[in-house]
Amino acid sequence: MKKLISIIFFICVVSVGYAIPPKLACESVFSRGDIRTEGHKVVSNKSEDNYFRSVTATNDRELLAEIKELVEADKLRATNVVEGYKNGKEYIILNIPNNGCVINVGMWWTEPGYVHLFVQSELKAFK
Amino acid sequence: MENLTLQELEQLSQAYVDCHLSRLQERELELVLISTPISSPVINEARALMDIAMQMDVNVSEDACRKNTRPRILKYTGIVAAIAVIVVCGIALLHTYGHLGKTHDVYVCVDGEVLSGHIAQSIVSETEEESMAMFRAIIEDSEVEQYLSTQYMNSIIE
Repeated sequence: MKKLISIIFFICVVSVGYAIPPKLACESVFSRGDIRTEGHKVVSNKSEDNYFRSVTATNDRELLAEIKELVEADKLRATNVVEGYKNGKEYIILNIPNNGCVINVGMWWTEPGYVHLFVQSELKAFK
Repeated sequence: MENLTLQELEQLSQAYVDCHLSRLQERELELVLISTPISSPVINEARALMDIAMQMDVNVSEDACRKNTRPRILKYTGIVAAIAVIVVCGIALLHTYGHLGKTHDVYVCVDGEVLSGHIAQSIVSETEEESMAMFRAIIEDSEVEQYLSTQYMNSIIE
């Protein structure tokens, strides 16, 4: 009986582990309450073949610093990283493979506090 | 134990089920219950347990007899665990795949104001196009830079 309970517990743990999607660190930005305030723009467009989310802040250094940290964390999972400077903005682009798809993460910013972050892929990439 | 009344037999059977009888008393009760046609729920339960005990054909001590109550508890624990697994897995899978019924979902919030309709749709399209255009431009630039750098390096080597 103990063996049976152990097997059931194992199945339970594996099922929960399988069902919980592996979240990107930068996805946590979209659940913040302060991005739905003055000076910010949040956009989400979800369908089966395309899931696009973005947040833009015109002057928020605190948010900029946090997004930088989160994107740095996601950078470790990326198979392709492009960083540079273009048209007065610094940028970082990540390609993160997951569930047979590639999740595109893009972020560009200026030091005074402008920041734009987007996360895009097929919906199944986030499962 | 012969010539026992129904009530006495029930009491003894209950004591048997609760493992309060000695091994000798158990044997005697087994013989009585085999030979008598009297029946009641408690007596039948004792008969069922006796049948199991006889099939096992082992010398069970009084302590071991008490342990026979454990499998029942474990049985119920197993059932509860199985129900818990089904519930947890169901919730987890619903949480993961529950949103699949929705085919298209748009959300736009500008300066704390949630927008809807055509305005929201146009902002979504505009933002997505700009983002992806910038994304593609950066990728193309990096590829061009990489190509030019390689070409220049090759020309130096040659």
